[in-house]
Amino acid sequence: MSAGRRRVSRRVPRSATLIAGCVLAGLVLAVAVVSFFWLPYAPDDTTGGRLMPPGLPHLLGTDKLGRDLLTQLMIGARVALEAGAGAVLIGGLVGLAGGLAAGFATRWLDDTLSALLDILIAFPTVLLAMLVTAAREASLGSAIIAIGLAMSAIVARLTRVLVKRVLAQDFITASRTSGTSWPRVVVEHVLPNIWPTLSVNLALQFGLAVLAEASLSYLGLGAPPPNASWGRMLQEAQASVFIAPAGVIAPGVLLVVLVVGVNLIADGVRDVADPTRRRTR
Amino acid sequence: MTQPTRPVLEVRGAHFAYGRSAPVLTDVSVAVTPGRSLALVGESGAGKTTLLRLLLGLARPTSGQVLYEGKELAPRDRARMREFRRGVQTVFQDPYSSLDPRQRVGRIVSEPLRSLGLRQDMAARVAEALRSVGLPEDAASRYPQEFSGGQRQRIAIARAIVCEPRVLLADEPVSALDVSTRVRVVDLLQELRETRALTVVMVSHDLAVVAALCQEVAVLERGRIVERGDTAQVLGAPRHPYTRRLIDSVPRLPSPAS
Amino acid sequence: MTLLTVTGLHVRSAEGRDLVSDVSFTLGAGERLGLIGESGSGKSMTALAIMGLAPPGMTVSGGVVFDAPGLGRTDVVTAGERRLTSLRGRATSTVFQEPLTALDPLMRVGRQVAEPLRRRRGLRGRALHAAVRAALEEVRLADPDRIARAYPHEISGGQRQRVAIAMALACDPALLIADEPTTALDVTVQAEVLTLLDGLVEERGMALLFISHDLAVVSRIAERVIVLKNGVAVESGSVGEVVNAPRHPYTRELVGSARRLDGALEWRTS
Repeated sequence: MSAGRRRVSRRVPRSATLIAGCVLAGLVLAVAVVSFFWLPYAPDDTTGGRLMPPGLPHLLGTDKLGRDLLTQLMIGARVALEAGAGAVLIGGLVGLAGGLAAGFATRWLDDTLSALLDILIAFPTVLLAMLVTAAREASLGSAIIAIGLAMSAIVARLTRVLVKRVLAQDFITASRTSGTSWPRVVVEHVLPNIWPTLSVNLALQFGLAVLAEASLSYLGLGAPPPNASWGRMLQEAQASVFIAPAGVIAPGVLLVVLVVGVNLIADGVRDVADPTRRRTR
Repeated sequence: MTQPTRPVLEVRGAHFAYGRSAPVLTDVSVAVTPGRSLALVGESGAGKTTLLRLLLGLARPTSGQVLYEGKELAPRDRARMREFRRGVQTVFQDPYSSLDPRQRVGRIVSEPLRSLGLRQDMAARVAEALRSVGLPEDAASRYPQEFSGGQRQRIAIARAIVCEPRVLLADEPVSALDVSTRVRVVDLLQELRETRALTVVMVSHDLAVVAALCQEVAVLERGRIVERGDTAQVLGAPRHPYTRRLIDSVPRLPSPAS
Repeated sequence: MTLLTVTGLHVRSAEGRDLVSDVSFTLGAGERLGLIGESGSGKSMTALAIMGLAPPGMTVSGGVVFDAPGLGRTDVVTAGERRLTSLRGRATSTVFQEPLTALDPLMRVGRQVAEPLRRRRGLRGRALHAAVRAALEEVRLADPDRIARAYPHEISGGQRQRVAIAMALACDPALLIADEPTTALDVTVQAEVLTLLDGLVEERGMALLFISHDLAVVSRIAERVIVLKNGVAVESGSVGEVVNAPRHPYTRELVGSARRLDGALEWRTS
């Protein structure tokens, strides 16, 4: 079998989608990493004058409080990635666990869990965020928890359907009659078979989480200043979009770059990793 | 043949019903004697699949017993269940649904060995199983999608025989295949039955396949066994009207004489 | 008279693979032709092409000419969608393999049978109700009123296939195309449905194009057969000729396989 594995690593298919996704998301990641070591200005430095156009010494200009836009943008990359990754981690783990439980559950337990999920999905994220903030404090962490919880309901519902579909296949019965225990059936058959669909959905959720964090911080439920978030930058620059368009364009472009990049990565990974698609190409 | 051997697998007086709905099986008793392959014949709704699930230990009868080597199956007794799983393996009808599309053939075939803790010489055993079902050696490193329906059924059979079971439970093993492929898989099962001292228990509605593979037949109609005995006897001189109707319904080729 | 003339029918997939190559045959009124082949032989694609229902992306060439009484001559390959729609149901009608997916699961059986009767024959109200009942009785469904009120999942597979046949016959087609109509059914039900089809085709003088992988089933109902392999007609002739004296190696293999299984059933002679 080691021979087989070697053969595959030699012919790992190169996916244009995957490469494009890595370039786009990698760009944002690089900006975020650099922000830890170097920033053009201090985040709360307001000496630059208000709404300066792009040029020198402020490459992208300044916002209405006179803060350097590039500095804000770099910190925003950090926040966006943290929000996306944190929410996907929480939502993914909680959702996967809940979905697996519901997928395996007997009738009444499944019905109960499904009803619970429907309620959670109907629950507005903002309300959830307010509750979490009331229990803790207004911070990026609270926002991530709220977004993650809201996401977990959606992930759980998708997982449940996928799990049920896989469990109906004969290879699961075959596995059981081979003497495989349920936990091993999950690891060997269920997870690998639901992962391609689930991972694409999680990438989508990553993008949505970044956007959700943006709107929560606008409402004061997200990362407090000076931790700039792209979403708040967008909202703040809205009023002056005609005077200083850079304030809207810069965070907007980066937001799109990140979300598109992550989605392309998910698509690409699925194409490369999924043996069931290999033959058709 | 000299003395009656003890049945290896047996269902005794089994009743089965889902909840309070009408019973799927009523007072069903079948015994599998080593070396005497058995066919469970019947049409949809006859309870064949449920009976198979009982024999596989995947469901428990509402009343009655399932015995392996003379002792009742005990799902809690792990050592005995392992012994049972090793002794009784299965092949399904649909070779597309029965193989995990995300695993290589080698991994699929070795699953019983891994799950039953028979990790010695695993690669050699898998290669041997693949060889005996007539698949090329390099099949192990490929994915099921790369094979045709007949070949996939061979992979499923290789998985079922890799741990050298005594009984092979087959649920309509050839009905999803083309005619010429069907004949070849029947031949393979016949050969394995003889070379590996395997007793085949087959659920089928196809009397021709039954006649080719099994020495004994039990005919199921609406959850009851209406007739049972030697295949030649049951198919040649059916006593129960339902068996007769079943045999008369089989479409036949026009004979060369006429 | 000739009802259907197929000349040099060719179907090519979007990727340029030939699914059906140069298939020709004619079918007269009241004749019964069997198309035999294993999976991938192109037998179902041939049927779809004849109805002008080849999936998008497929390139169909050659001639498929219908000359149904009262409907005029139509070349299916070149005819427009409107012309084809008016042809379907009246010139040809189809029964498929899986009656569960061929029927709308959310509509009562009676309404589904009524649909073609209403559309084609313009029946309404009482007359329509009576026609539905008659249609269900014609396919030997006991208790047609109960069946008419039922949803497809509430009746058995054999009953569903009978309903599908009733729908196919509703507009009095000159040609009935049956694509593996008994493959999903139990043996005893298969025998009943074959007897039913046999009788109906006989009574109405319909032509029948019967598609199946099962040689025994086809020889039970057809007079002539065409054996397809990879989209090519490798042999054709009367059922007796093909089954008893196959000429092409593939047909020989096919007949040999069927004979082997058939031979296993020879208990009564011993």
